[in-house]
Amino acid sequence: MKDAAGGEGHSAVQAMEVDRSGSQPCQGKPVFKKRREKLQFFDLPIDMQCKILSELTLKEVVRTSVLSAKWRSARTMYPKLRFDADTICSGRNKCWSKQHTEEFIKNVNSVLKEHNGSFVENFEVGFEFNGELVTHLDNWARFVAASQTKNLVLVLVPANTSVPRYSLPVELLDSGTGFSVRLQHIHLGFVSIKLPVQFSGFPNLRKLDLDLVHVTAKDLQDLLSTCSNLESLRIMGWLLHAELRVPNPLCNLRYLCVQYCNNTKIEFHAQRLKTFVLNGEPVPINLAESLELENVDFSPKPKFLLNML
Amino acid sequence: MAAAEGSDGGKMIVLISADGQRFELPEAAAKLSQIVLYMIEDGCCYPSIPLPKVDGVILAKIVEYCNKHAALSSGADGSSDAASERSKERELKIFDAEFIDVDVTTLFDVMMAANYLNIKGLLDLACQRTADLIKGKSPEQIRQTFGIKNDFTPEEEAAIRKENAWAFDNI
Repeated sequence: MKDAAGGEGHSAVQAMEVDRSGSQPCQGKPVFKKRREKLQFFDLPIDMQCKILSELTLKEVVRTSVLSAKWRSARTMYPKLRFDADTICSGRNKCWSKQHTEEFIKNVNSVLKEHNGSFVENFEVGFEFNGELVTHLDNWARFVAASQTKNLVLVLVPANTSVPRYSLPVELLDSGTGFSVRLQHIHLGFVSIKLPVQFSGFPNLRKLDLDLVHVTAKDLQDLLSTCSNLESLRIMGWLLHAELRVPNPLCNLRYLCVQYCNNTKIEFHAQRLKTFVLNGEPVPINLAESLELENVDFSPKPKFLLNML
Repeated sequence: MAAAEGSDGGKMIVLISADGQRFELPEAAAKLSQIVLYMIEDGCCYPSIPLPKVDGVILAKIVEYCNKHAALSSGADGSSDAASERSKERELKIFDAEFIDVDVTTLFDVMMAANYLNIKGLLDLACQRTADLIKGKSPEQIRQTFGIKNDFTPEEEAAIRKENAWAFDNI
């Protein structure tokens, strides 16, 4: 809860009424009796309205648009935007079809058009990727930046490995631009990242998950170096035959998980690291400063993944 | 003014509602409210605390909630094995469900009071209950529950349904 006294003002609306019908007037003085005024949903403080709406799915919130003109605005402050085929497509169009993608884009855009662009906690996109999405994804990244979203999930499944990845416009999310200082969790799947020359990074990021992301060793190193408050890092399917090395200290890193990567070495300066998971081929590891390491889990790559990666 | 003592020897606190009703409850129960906790720690108003923003009817509900939750909080009776923890959790769950099964006016008043008094568990419970009154219900059911007047013309309502057809598929 943001503000302990958030209810101030609102609960003070209870009207005072002089009750003259009381059978025992106090020696001529009027007896004040409270009449409880009926609060409506929109009388509640905004953060409580958002909290209630966040318990509903996007579909349920959009359905409230028909209740009344006032309720039509409820969706404008829905804080947990989650867009995938299950949540936002009718199911009439076949997956991977042009119509399916078009329906998805149309519905996401209509939700975002009605949104007030603030109070966004989660912005999640999970969808099949093809070139038609690119312009829209760029616009949605702008929305994420402008709305100061806290948690960003972008998992774009390609039809096959020959489809080029979506290149995330990282510069839009860069803290140096003044946006996105609230970004606390980023989860990217099947995207490519290329850092701009001037990159301030994600100093407030707590959690980073990268699944099958294309990024050079240098850019990955520079990206992680900016995440000075990172607590949890999971990298899955980074297929470059290169060192996974972050020379800058990551003082708050507690959890590190490297899964099914082709990297040649692992080196982190993480004094408070508690858990380290390595799934895949053994590689030289330098976690010499991680004196608080408690849980270590090494397991090889499962056979079914050998051919896929 | 010396603090009163309850039957079990614990300190008692008096909360005074906006309309002057007095509610005596164990300090451990009163402290479920962060605001009351701060007031106790600051030593202001101790041991009787005026709450001018909460009326008696609602404060009675709040006190009922705090008493139950404090009594059943872990270790309150000294037992701490897993089985008794689970049974207490179950009992609280049943209590919460019955406690919050109230009309919408009371629900919102309890929510506002929980927000003002900063009782996180109760605020979460009231918000969840409100959401549950919307979940899976038809627009007409929701309007009835919350006393919402439909100010759309049939044409306007149809247009909104059409614009957002994906959300209205199954209703």
